[in-house]
Amino acid sequence: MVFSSFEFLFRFLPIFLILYYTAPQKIKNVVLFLGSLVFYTLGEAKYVLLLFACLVINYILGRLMYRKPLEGRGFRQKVLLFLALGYDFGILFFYKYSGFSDSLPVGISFYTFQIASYMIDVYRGVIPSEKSFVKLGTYLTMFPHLTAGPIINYSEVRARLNKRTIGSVQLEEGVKLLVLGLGAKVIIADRIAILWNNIQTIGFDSISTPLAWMGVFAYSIHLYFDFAGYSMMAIGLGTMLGFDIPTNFRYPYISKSVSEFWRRWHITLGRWFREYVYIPLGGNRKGKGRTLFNLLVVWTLTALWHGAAPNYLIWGGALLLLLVIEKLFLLRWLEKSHILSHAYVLFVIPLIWIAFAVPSVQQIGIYFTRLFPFLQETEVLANSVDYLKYLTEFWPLFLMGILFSTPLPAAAYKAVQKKWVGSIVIMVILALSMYYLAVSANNPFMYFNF
Amino acid sequence: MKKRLACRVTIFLLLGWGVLSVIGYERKNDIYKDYMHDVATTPYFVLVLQGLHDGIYPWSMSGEDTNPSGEMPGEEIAATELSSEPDTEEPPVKKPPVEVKEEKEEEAPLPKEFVAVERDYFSDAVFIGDSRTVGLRDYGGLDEATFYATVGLNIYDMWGQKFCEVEGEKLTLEEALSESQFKKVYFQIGINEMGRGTIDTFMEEYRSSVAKIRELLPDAIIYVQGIMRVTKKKSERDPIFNNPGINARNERIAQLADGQKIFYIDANDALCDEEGNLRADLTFDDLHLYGSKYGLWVDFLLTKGIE
Repeated sequence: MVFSSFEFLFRFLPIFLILYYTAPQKIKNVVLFLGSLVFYTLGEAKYVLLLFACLVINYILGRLMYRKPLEGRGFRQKVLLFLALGYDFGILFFYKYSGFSDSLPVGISFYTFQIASYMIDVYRGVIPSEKSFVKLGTYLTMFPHLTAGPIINYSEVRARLNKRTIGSVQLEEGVKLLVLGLGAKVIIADRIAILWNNIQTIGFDSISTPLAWMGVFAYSIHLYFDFAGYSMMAIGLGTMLGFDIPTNFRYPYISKSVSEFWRRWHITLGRWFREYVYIPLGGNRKGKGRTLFNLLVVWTLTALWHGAAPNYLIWGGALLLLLVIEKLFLLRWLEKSHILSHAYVLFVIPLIWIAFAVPSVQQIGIYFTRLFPFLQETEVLANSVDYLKYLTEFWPLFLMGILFSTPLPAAAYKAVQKKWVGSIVIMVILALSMYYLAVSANNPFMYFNF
Repeated sequence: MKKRLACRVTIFLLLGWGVLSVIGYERKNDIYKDYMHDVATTPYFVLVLQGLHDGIYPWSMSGEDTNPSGEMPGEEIAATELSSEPDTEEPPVKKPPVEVKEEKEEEAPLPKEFVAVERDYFSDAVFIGDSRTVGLRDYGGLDEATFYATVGLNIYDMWGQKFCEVEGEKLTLEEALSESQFKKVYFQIGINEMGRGTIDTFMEEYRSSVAKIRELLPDAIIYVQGIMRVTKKKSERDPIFNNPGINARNERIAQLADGQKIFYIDANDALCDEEGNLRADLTFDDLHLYGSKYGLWVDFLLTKGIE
């Protein structure tokens, strides 16, 4: 059940909120825990036991493992951590990479990383192991971030699991964020995706070079607004329930370097790899050679986290290459520049997204020959004016995509958000989102637009 | 007062949900009767928004012709459903689609044979159809032919829509054809409306459309083309847009052929595998050919000339 569906927004969510708000303070965690299990079951019943097993096993191992920080960590702690991580990543590996399962349990990449962060933090003595099964369960399964992140550390929600304020202020704030995220997804991402879908329908070998470029930018806009919108919905839902879910995207497309881009894109994933892989390996403190090796490990894992297909390795490899070049010398130069550095990011990042978007390595190659026609020797039979048709249709979405990729609209909104104007802005976004959702809901031809 | 104002977006949301849902519920069997609606997953206000998209407003009267230019599918469906009633009572008699056929019965000339032709055969041809024909226009390389095609075109509203571009102006099909001298008409339509009406209502409209084309272009050869099938994957999963449904329609379309001026041709012969499904390597979305594959369709058409 995705957040941007009527089923979630007007069936599950209102019923859940009524139960949650009317439940006595003491049992709110129970309501949220059970509600989240129901949410997961409604989406994919067959894997709910797997989620539950993950919770039970890590709860028990966490309890067995914990010692007070002063007592230090012994052999037992090491073995238990090894067992827990072995189980968690073993299951993830089985479903995602082994090829034995034909479907991937929803959210497994996200909840595995969360529970792993919990176990490692308990092992490190950063947090005590959670005594309450319900609280740990609430943390892990909480439906706002269960299926698509953000990836939250236990320490971030621990205080809120014990005590949180829930009222009309939180509800209103949460609704606003939810609407903004929904608008990003439904008004921009889902609609500009139609262009990308059309390009795939035509086939990369038949598109003109201008259309190929429109395609990479359309996909870049789609991916950002889809994922950032979804994360914002998660944050809004968390706010309604009294939690502070961390920001996952901070205007990545305004970055001046790929390094900066990755600090602004899917922040909670980058943070996870930094805290639990890069820094434990020594980070950049053990010399240049070791730093490069650590980066290689982190980026191989980051690529694999996104998927097992070879195109993700190309994607991760390209990003790694640029990060290394930047670390070695380019970064100093980029930071001084004001225009070229932005142009560089907006040139290379969309190109790298191609490897993310297209599963077939051969097709990635074809796409590049369309982007850079001088790479190809033979004449291509493409419709040389195809882009005009799509430009007339999609230019408003490109314009919106560019505008909302900058912090300007948010700054303007901030100035008026307490006034009626601010509320009206949200209401308009809400109405438009509902309209587009309604039109596409019963329309099997959403992509039938050839 | 202050507290309530702090919650204005939530209040707006609840009010909008409530008011529009009441409207949707009240009129669900009236102006919104043509929309599928599943109460378990979808709130009633969705009906109002879907209506809005099709030009049906909460204050519209039922049966009112909200759109004189006929661009609204909603109203069109209502009209065809009404006209379908007599059709279902008296089973579809295979009445001769056009006068030409009677002529044929009297004189009984031999059916004409297809011959291979060159591309200049298309220089006095017009292609009429939906997104598949749009693809043929954009990627088939048939620059000599004329195309009156648009995405989403369906048999129920093809005569009301202004989709034919003639010298920079958008005309209805009737306007566009009546000013023309086309000698061949290639007609393919029928996938968009599979979820609408019945095969009989579809064929009724189809037959009268062919008759109307005949009336406008008395001397032209009309090719009624079989609807292009979908891939196996799509066909097996989709309750509506599947090959059994397409084949049922194609069988009926094929009956319109008279061997003299109306010919049934089916490019599926060139595009499908031995099981009769659209070849998966020809399409990304299971419905439309890759741009580079339209040549197969063109090559097929080149074998179907009539002299």
